[in-house]
Amino acid sequence: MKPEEFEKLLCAAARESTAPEPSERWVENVMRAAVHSSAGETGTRMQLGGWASCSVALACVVLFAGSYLNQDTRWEEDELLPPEEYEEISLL
Amino acid sequence: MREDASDDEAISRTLEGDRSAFETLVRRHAPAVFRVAGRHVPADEVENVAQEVFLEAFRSLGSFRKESPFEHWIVRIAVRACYRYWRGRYRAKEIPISALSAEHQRWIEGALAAESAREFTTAADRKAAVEVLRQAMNRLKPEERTVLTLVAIEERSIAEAAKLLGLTSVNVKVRLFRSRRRLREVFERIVAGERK
Repeated sequence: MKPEEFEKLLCAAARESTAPEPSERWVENVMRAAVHSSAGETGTRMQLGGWASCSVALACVVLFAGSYLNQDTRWEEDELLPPEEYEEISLL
Repeated sequence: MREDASDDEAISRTLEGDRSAFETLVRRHAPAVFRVAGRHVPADEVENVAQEVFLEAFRSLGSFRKESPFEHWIVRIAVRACYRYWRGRYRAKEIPISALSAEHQRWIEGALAAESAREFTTAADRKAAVEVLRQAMNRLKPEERTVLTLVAIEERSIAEAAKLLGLTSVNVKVRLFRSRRRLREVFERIVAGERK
């Protein structure tokens, strides 16, 4: 068979393979991590509610997003995603 | 939070501090994120990557402009998280590049020598195909495997892949061409290696 047909054969097999599904335990872990990931900001906000805590939380999230962008998602030459795209999905 | 609340409502409530509203978003969109991650990263990493996706969404929710559906936004985050997963593994040189078994090498040679793909439809063939593709993809660069997965495995259009990756369609086409050429080179090397 031709190489392109071979590639299609492989990709079709990969497409048919089943992915895991989200479990209840996974959802609980995500929620726990979401609260912990922003402890002192969103965690507090969730308890207090209201505009004042919301402002504090937003400031913290902006700071966190800034450091996150500087560390893990920094654009480097010849990589896939330009910084403006990260900005689009992040806070800054 | 009502389970039938709209995404917009759940987002607003989350930003106001309603924990259950975010859980609604997680439960509603986790299947889509798992589907994406399941195609891009190893099965035993899907949960970790999916969790990272929702944490990033949680942190960045205030920047979501509601110009497109939430699911589109979170799928973009998911694709980028998968790309980052491979970039991290690639940099740490943690991608296992082991030689294919003699059985898989024979399978590749048999498939390439066959008249058509129609001869390879058994469950054993599918299993071999998945393993061969996995091994071959491990030899690609992160951006090459991401583009190839989006277009060739997920069957997304060039335009859609471009949007997900923040590239132009031309860039995606170029990267796709290079990825396919590289994949073929990998297979040629595998087959040539067996003949030695």
